[in-house]
Amino acid sequence: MSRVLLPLALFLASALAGGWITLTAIPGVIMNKAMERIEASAAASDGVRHAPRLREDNQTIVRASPDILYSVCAFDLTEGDLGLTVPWPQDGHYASISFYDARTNNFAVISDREAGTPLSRITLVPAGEGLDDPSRIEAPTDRGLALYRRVIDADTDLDAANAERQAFTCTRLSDQ
Amino acid sequence: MIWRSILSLVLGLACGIAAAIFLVFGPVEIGGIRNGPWQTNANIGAPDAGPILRAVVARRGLLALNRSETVYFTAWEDSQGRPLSDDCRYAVAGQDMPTRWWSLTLYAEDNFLPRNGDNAFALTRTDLGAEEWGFIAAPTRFGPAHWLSTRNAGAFSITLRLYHPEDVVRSAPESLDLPTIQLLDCGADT
Repeated sequence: MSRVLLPLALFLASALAGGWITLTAIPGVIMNKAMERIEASAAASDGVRHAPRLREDNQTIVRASPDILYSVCAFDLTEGDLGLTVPWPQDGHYASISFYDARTNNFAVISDREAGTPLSRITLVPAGEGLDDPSRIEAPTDRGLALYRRVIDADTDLDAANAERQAFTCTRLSDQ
Repeated sequence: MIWRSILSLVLGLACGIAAAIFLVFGPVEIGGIRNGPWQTNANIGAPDAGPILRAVVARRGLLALNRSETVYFTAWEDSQGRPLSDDCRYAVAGQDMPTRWWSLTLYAEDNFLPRNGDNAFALTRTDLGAEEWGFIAAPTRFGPAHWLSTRNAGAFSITLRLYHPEDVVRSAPESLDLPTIQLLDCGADT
């Protein structure tokens, strides 16, 4: 009996383990690729990539929205805290800054509705270093992405929105 | 006995890895809550998403916002449950929804915007208005109606984004009056 049961049990246990390990690894692998691509494309612009409005010929991420202007920076807190300035639309449109850890978790988000001022200054710090200061956001992993979204609801908004989002900056504070 | 055990381990690992890859990269859609042809999942973008959903979202919707900011609904079928196809024409109709702003985007089978040169892949509340509205999803423009182009989109899907949704969107997404997707005709008729 054990001639059958033992191999069967080993097969099932290793299948579960293989499946679980693969599922757990996939988000990190995909996120890592995205971060590498963004770091490479943002290197020439002070760490921020202001992506052009999404069109069929400039897509790099699946299911992105053509109604949003995206600006993004990759962070690595082992090299120091990250300081961000985030502009909020003056025309009443939606905008947000969202933070993703190295496993794709959206661990923090601030939108224009909560901001209250035309420009927010935020510091991204490692876990445990938030000091109960709402302007200091703790990242659960050292590496990740900060993504600024800004709605544009007509082509006529594009120039103004493009100019406005140039105020979105990511600066490694150890550089200052 | 030892060789049999080793073989079982190796085969089990291979099967487990293959099953996980199929689950994430194969034709399995994100499950969750249904409302007519629309599907949504409360865990998108959330840290408490399970490993399967997290992996599927990383593959199909990387960098999604959490539900306090945006609720995503996606339709892969028409209102009668038939898979959407670029060989057919559809009438999509709806009304304003309980949210600050919304948009509808058509994605091709590969989860990117269709590469067809038509520049007709999204419509928003600004385009369609705050009252009752409608548009046609078809391979070619259909009269003066608002239009999303399905040309070269294969088994396409439509994603509805609700930005800053009201509480009811998060608490009872199955109760919302979401757009209907009615098949008009297929094949040579298009």
